[in-house]
Amino acid sequence: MPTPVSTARQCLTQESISTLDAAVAVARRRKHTQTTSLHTVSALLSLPSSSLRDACTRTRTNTYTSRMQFKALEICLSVSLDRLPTQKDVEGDPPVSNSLMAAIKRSQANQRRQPENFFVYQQQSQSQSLVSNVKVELKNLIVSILDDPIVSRVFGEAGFRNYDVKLAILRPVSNQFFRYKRGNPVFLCDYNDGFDVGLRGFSFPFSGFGMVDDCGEGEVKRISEILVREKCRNPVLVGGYARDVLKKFLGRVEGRRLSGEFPVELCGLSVISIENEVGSWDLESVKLRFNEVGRLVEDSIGPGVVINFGDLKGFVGEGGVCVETLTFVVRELSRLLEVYRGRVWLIGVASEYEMYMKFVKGFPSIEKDWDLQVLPMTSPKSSREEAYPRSSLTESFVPLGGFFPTPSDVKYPLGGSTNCVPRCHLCNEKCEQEVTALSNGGYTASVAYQFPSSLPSWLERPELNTTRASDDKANDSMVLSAKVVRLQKKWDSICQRLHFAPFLAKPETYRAYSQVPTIMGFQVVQDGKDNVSSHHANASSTVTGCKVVESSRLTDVELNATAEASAQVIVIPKPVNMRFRETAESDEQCALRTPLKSWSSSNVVEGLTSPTSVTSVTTDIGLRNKLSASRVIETSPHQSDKDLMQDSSGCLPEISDVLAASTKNNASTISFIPSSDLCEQYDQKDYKYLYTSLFSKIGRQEDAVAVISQTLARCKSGNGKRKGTSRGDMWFNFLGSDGICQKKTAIALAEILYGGTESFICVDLSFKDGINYVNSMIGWQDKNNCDMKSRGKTMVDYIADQLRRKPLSVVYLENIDRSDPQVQSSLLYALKSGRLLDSHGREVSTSNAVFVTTSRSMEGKKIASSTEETFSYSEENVVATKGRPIQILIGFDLGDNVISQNTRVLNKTRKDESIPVFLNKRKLVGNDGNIRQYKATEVVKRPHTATKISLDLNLPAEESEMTDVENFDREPFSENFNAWLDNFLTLGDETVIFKPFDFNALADEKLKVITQCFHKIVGSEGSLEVDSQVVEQILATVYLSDSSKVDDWINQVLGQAFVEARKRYNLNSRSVVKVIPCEVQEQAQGALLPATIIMN
Amino acid sequence: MGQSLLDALNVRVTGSGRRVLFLAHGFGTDQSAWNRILPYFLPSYKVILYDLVCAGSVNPDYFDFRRYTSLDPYVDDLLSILDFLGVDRCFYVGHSVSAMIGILAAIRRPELFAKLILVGASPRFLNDPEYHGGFELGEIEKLFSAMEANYEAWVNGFAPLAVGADVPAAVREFSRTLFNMRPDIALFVSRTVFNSDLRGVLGLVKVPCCIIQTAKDVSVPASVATYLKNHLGGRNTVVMLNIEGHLPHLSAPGLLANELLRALSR
Repeated sequence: MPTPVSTARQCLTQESISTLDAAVAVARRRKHTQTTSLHTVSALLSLPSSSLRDACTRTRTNTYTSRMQFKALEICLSVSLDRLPTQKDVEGDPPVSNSLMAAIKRSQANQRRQPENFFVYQQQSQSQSLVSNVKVELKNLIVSILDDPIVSRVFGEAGFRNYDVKLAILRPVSNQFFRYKRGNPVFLCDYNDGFDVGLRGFSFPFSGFGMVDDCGEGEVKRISEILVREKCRNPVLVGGYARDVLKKFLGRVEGRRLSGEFPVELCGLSVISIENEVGSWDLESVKLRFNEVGRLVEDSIGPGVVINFGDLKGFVGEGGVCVETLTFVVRELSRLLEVYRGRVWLIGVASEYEMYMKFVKGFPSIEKDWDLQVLPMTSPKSSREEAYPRSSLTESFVPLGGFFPTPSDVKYPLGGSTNCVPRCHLCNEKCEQEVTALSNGGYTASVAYQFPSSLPSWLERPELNTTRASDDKANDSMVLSAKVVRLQKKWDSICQRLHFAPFLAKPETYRAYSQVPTIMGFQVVQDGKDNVSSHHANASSTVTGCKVVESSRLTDVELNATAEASAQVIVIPKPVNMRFRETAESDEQCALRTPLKSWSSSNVVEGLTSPTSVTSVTTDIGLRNKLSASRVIETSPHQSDKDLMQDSSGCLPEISDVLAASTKNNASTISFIPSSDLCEQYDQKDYKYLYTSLFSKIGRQEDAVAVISQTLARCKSGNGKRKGTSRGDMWFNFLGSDGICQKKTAIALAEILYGGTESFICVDLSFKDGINYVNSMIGWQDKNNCDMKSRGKTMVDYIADQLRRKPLSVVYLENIDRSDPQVQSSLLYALKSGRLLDSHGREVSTSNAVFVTTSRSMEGKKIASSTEETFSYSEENVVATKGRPIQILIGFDLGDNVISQNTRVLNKTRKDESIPVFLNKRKLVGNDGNIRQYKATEVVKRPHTATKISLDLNLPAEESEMTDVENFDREPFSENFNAWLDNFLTLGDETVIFKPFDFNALADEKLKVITQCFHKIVGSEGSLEVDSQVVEQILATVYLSDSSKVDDWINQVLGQAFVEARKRYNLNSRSVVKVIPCEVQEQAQGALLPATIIMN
Repeated sequence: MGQSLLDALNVRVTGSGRRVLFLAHGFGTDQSAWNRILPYFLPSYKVILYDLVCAGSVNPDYFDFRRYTSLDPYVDDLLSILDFLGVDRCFYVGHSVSAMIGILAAIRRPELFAKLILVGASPRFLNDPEYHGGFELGEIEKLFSAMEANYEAWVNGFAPLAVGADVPAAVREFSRTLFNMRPDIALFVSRTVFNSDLRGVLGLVKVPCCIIQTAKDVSVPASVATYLKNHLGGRNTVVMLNIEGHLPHLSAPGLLANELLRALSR
């Protein structure tokens, strides 16, 4: 049988009674049938200065942060509270439950037994013999409530130990228990802002009572700090908010409203403003004014005078200035500063630093003369009021309703002092202030403004103005009394809302919180409406009580509307949230679609079918699809080596929309073919077989192929470096410069060993800037790499991921010498242990993979590059060549010497290179200027070649170091890099050296073919000039595909062009036929050599 | 005082290099945001990491609502950390709000900074007639009310938006750190940030700056990078990353790390 609340109250002390009342209020809010111990605990915890919470803080384990543990406690408590039975219609207070009553009784008994109380109670009981007369103290009540099994379970679930808490309550507080000192750490370095430690609560909005404009203390301090300095003592505030700050600062100096931290020596400053004079055209009046100023300065008492010269705009003249006046002003001010040294300050503002610079430029010595100091002002001064979280904010804010604040919480502006007074002292005072203000006729907006507002000032001000206006208008005696009443009512409600809100609003918000956002908005509206009808004073307070300012400003009549309005305001977040999510989703889709568009069309379809799904799901899909798509891209180069080029161009994202989708389907079928016809046919241990099959796929570099196949055979037969272990991985290092051949080799390895190019993983480790060699010919390298990088993965992650999917594969790592440290360390680890660690620390077995690493430099091994001559055609240049249209120009050699039938290579376009090959005598060609120009644009267009050149092995290393960007990249690692590379190379199975591709010989050979063709068609008359870039185009074609195709091209396309030229022009012995690239737009990717040649 | 400050803000010094690199995280993250790119710098830099006082990993009691009303107190914290550690010159990498803090710090003590690298920086988030900051007043108010109304929902909506790219891990990580912030602090700080206007003082920065900006950033339009470049007073470079999102250190760590290395060596 539950006990009525009044009975229970009789056994309690005043302190305990208020706790019980709070508990009853909690129960009532939650519409519970009885007030239990749980309610009491909840009430206890939400009290601002709760001994229970203190105790909990002291006893909590160190494993979790106090915030987390409190949150846990909060959750457990609310869950248990939710389980309690509720009833619809509540009449009066829910009675005290048996368990709580038992707890009270227990504590009574306890208290009587306590030795210090023994005699008192002994006497009492002798006289009255009534147990209920023992008033239970709060401490004892808490202890016995903690004994309640429900409560102890809740605490246990939250990770508090019951007896610890009890002990902490009973023990006197001693500071050594505190884990960290509760006093705030002093953060300020530049100035000692002595914020009082004792002020735990958040009393700001009320502390600044008298101050109408509360200028940020920090800014005042910073300004005054400059003022007291010896040098550079005249501040110029710079920044968008400087004006406001200055106004407020001066206002406070004039009004003597400076707080304690304002330097004593500056107290009593006076302010003179000459703002208006600065821009003035009237010299006479300015002179008069300055006479006055001089007098004022002379007469001033106290520390001195601050002269405000206003915005520097006036000096630099926006819209015309009177130079005379300005020079006068400047001179006068300098004079004043000089004469009254130490007693005169200047102060001004500039909205932008540029303005200040202009000013200083206009008056060159002014910075020194005026002793100016620039002071940046970057935040608005009213930020404090605006940015303040509203007192009730945290309620709706902290997840799960913000049941009780963490110690320094902002929630209760006035601490526990406002529990019982109907209208607290402060509110009373404010109310009276307003009433008097009202009767004086002026409505001070300040009061409402003082409250931390839900609206920023820019929204608030206009409204305030209107209020004031209407107030003024209606301000006659008739209305006055009504207004007073209204004001009082308003303050009543403010007071109630602010200071009782914690108890009233909590359950509301809490309940709302546990719902889905959409429902939340609805529910709150409902509540709001209910309350409007029932008791209007509380109306808006129950609507999560956060619209303090708004409703306080509005009148009774409007209150109805307000409640609804504020309810609406609360609803707003819902659509906002929704919109957020929607945009998030649509963005997600956009993000998805952009890569997808380029990857495969099937993805887009998938992406579109799941528009409503949760974002993470979509992203998952996106990622997976991307990866699968990238795999597709990798598979396609498989088809054949010969038209690798065409293939790759086909694989480029632009076209792959359609292609990839189809290839994807094909991919599975493709992978079967080789496995059926190739893999099983030969024994991988057979050296000869390996050699022939490799060589047939590569076509050059016999030595390297021999070494590779030997090593392969050795490893496969179990005689590799890691003989003892069961690991099947192999590590090759390809050194040398023939990059294409290296890659071809690796692909061939993948085909031979694992039966297809889909088991070929290619990563360029030097890949740093996310820009691939899009314009280079081997752009087919790895487009996926680029995308991979931007998707939150590191190189290692990508490699590990690929390996996880395809454990049996050839991992081709280009430019190992330019890898980053993370890759280096994990590769070395993989080499040693057979497991690759990704950046999350997950391991992937590498024991079935073949690793091929390449490096251009020979640094690792001291291999003499004696075979190398100076190349005029370096690999880098050739590889970077773009397919351009080629044109033929006919010039006439007007010089004396008739040229022999020689073919020359024009090398104008690359002057930075060493010696042109065939150049006998350079001649000025008619349109040389044109070509020169072309060169200039070319250099701009291809920064890559410029940087690449310095990687040329022939250049001395020291030279390239200072100029080369890429070398800078490496610079940080270079110390331990060589050691690492050495180590890596020695641990690997084999280091294979690729001979540099002999471009010169090839160029010779091809030129010979061209010359032959030329002479065959044109005859022996005339000479031929071939631009070096055209030669490079030809070389690149040979390099990437094969030589016979180029011969065909020369004989057909070029030959055709020569025939045409002969037809059109009358070629004689003096004519020069020039084959040069066009500087017009580039050809589409793919074919390096154009199908037709442009004739002029 | 210094030591307690270091403890409070979880200052961590690591790495074996000579040169000092200061990594400062942005709004909604903490120093763990740098974890993915940290290994790149350890061999050659002494790296200093810290948490902003508003970060979720800092005891919220240290956040004094009366003190941190503008960015200047954050600058004070930063400078006192540097002073206490005896750093006389450092490279500063600041993300979002920390970029602003770095700018202000470099104005106050230019000799301390060899170079500022500003990732996703903006001097002003609000639009003006002749400035595009990316946010309208109304939008910001909506943002704030969304934060107020349901912080968790806001976090869940905002995190993928901010991360931009489809990197679930990054979204998860950002949501975690964002949610770690106490909501009132988060709101307070974002109000402070949105109220700040650094445009007028950019010219005061004489330290060379490198502005790293992603191609698509919900918080910072690409034009802001150009604005910064034109208005900062030192020698400036802009690096546009061809990726999405406001948090490249989470969404594309490898790429950003290499850009940073490059920027540091220039």
